[in-house]
Amino acid sequence: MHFLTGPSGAGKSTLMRLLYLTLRPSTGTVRVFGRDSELINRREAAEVRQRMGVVLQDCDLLDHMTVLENIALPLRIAGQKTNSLMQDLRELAAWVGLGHRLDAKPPELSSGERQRAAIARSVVNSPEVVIADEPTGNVDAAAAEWIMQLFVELNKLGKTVLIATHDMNLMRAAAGRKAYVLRIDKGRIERSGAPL
Amino acid sequence: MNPFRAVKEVFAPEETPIAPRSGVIGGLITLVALAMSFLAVIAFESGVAADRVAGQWAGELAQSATVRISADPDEIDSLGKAALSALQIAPGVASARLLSESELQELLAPWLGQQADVGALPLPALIDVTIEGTGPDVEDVQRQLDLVAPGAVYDDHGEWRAPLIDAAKGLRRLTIIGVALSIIVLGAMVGVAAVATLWSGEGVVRTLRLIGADDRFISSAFERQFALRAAIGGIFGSAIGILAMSRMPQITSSELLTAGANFGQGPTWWLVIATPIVCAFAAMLATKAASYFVLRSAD
Repeated sequence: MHFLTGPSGAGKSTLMRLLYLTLRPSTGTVRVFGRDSELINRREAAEVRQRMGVVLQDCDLLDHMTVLENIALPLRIAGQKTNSLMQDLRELAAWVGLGHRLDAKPPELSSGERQRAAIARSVVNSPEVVIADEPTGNVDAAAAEWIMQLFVELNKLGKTVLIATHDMNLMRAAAGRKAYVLRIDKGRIERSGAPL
Repeated sequence: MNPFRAVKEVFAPEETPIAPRSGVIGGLITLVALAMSFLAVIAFESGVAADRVAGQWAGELAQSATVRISADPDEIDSLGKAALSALQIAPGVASARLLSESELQELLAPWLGQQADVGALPLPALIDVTIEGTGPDVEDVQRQLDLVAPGAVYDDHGEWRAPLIDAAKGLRRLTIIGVALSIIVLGAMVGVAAVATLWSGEGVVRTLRLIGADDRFISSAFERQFALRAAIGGIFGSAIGILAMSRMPQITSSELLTAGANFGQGPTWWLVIATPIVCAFAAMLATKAASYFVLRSAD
């Protein structure tokens, strides 16, 4: 489990975007899954993103779909039939505490519920790494704690989790886990790989 | 794709479509496809009918010729008979027939009326010649006529046929242009609608990208919706167009210039199948092109 910390404007989101390839470096080199991001074309970038689970601050759920359909969306993109996976999808929704809201549409959910749906969606196709950029930025303290617990549980299940946050208190949720902190400020790394 | 499943997918999809319903824009695409396919069918049917008339006229003229004999009234009968004899043995002539006074009266009736006494007029004698194969050598026939009936002129209708053939070609071109313009306008409208939808659905595009969708997947999500809407518009537009053409009055009188046009007759049923397919294809291409530019510029 890795935390990317630093004050607002430090460049955390920029670094995250470089990792999930919606931004390319103007100088230097970014290697993603061992490949120079400059050499990854648009189609390959989509394949790379299928190997990641990305959770953003503003959730990015599709409002015209239900919670269950939103969670299943990466499977449809990967060309899988979701009908045979309904039981697994329901269990995943239940794991993030949305078992009772499967047919709700995102506008009907609270911000915490939306974020938990986004977390379920990010892991539905078993990504190699989960990247979360300020995942608790829009939720209250109780919801933030719940969300952090979900990430910790994912890490316990063997997933590499990288979370960008400026809230040091949230990192306490990972106490007892093998976690590292990367601190950046004004686009420069101040501290790299320090244990939590 | 099964067309029935495809239509069902628009109105009662099993899975929620990836692209949100395009609402008013989707309705407009159906309406534009309906209007354009209606116009395309009208242009096509009119062009085919007019082309058929021009072709029929040119064909009839090509299979016949006329010999006109101008002479003094007391000589005209003997010269007519001499010319007729020469024509009947000419190679390439199937038959030749001197027009009777009543036939001349019928020919002149539109100008002089049915009651005119054409016998009192200094009219030339006319011989109707039916041609076989490629027809006679015009110069040779004219030489023979000059010998037996001075003043006789062999007219192979070439002067009349040429503009008709040109007209037929022109009508074909106009039909193609009319149909092509309808398809282009439909494609342009769908393209504009696709650009508007993709820009307004920027959030959907960003989300899809974030979870691993490539441009092809995103584009096809919109393509399918627009192509199906265009196809539905095409079905109704072509059906209405064919119905409208079939209700046009059937013209059979040989006295009318448009005789033989017979709008709505002929093998037009296939337009109901072909037009929606063309509409869907045009819409799909337009959406693909619009997606290509929008998705790249949205980076």
